[in-house]
Amino acid sequence: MKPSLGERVFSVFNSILLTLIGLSTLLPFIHVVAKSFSSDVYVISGQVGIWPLGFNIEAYKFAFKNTPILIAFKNTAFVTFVGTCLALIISSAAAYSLSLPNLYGRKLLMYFFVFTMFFNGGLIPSFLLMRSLGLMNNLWSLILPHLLVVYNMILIKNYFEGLPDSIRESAMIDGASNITIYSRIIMPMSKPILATIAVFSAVGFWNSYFNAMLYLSDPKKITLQLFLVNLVRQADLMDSINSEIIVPPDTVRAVSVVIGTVPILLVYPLMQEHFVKGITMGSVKG
Amino acid sequence: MSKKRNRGGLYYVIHNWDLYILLLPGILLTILFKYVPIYGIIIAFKDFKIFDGFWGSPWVGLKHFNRVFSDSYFYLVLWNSFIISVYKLVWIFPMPIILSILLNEVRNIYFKRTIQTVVYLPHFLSWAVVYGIFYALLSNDGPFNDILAMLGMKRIPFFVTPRVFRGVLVATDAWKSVGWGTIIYLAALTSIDPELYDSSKIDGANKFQQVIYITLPGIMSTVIVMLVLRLSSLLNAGFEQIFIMYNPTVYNVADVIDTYVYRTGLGRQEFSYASAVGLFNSVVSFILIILSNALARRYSGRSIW
Repeated sequence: MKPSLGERVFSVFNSILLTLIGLSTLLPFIHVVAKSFSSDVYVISGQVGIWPLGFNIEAYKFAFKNTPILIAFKNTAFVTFVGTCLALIISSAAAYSLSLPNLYGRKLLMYFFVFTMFFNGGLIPSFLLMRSLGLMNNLWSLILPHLLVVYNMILIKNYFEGLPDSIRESAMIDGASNITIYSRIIMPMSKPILATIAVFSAVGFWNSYFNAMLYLSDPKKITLQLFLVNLVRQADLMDSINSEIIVPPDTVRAVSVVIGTVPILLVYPLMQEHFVKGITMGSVKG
Repeated sequence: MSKKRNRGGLYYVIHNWDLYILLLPGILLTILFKYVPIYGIIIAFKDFKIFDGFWGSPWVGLKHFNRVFSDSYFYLVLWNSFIISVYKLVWIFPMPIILSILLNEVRNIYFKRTIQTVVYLPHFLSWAVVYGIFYALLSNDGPFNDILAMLGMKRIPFFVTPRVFRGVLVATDAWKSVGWGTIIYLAALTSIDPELYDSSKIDGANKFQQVIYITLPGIMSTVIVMLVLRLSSLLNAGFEQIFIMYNPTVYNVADVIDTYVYRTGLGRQEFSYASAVGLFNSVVSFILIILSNALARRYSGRSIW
């Protein structure tokens, strides 16, 4: 059917509206990127819009030389990489066992895990626990509590349950052990869900701020998000740093926002195909 | 298979011991980092001092709870948690629904995908980054205040003005989460039979009528389930966001239960009092989750687990 006049008007209006929404999402970020590449005069006088004025990379050089941003980057990368790998292994292993309908104690185990989604000890007991474990100022304090995220485990379990039973049965007949079936057959077949969960946990580890603030005070253990928040909060942080080039705090802030975001922007196209699948799979299920 | 099951649990466990090995790391981590802190809640009923330790601290019964419930500041943070959460619910909840309906009407697949790619992105940024971005945008000489000045209005120091701070919380949360929120509704929209639209067109329905009579009813069950599930976080105003963005000048309007627990517990070292506040929060959240899930199940036969 040919679109009527009304439909065409709507369509144009709709496209304009959506474009505006898209722009309002992008422009704030672009503004910060522009600032990070602008020279100080323009930044201080607040003239930078969405295009760098007096383009230069001095602020980046300054940030890498005079602030702990490299250490922060390294620590965050460590937590993200180790955390994501271990979380995938531990969650999928548990998910495999729980995906078997005959597993003895399955229902009880599910209650055991699911209960922790709805009730938790809260901040103070968790903090005291971390202290008595001697994990203060240890990057593992950011990793260990998040290796088994129940929600992610359930997503993996649901995926495993959707795989055909016959595969497991014929492997059993060939004498394969459960661990062999899990690691050699089920895991390679489940790359889509594992990629989805890897993305979600990597982003979670990369972005985690509060636990880092709670458990890490040693400047050598600083993470990127911690560094970023400290930087935005302390307007006069720069005064304490001796340097010949004085870069305005606003520019250094912009630089750290960009550095904190770029890794996510880089993997974003890769993960996009996965996360939509992931979330619709995990959405309220029947 | 069924024969095996009949021989009892022990037989199964012995013959499938390796399944339990696979479960072991997850179980141990869950006990250590989830159940041990739950057990640790008992310090809310003790007078916990670091040097007396967990076991050495004396029991004091409901002393801390009596203090909590007679503390007027506690009611302030309770109110703040609730009202910020309600503001977010009222403003933000409808937005993904509208946005997904608009997106669904786009015929050009490339345009649609581009917009989707853009609006999903902020979901993946940390609150620290979002704070950095909006700190630049909303600062006194930032673009937003420039626009206000251009319109002849006074510049507003957004992050330190109690009158607008809750608005800042709602707006930044919307910026971060609305796009991502469309995914679930877009999925629901694909299940609407396209023939309904074609036949309604023949009957002379316009776009607006189609949305009211076909699209909305088509996703209504999803909307209701999402709404009910959202109710379970009625006391959850968005801890990390507020913790990163707030400051003493806006405590009156933005200090929420979790930030209060943090400051009394770890700032002022009143571990037991803060745990009592935290326990109150955990219990109320637990009840809300159970209730909302029961409602969702009753309404649609679906539930979160």
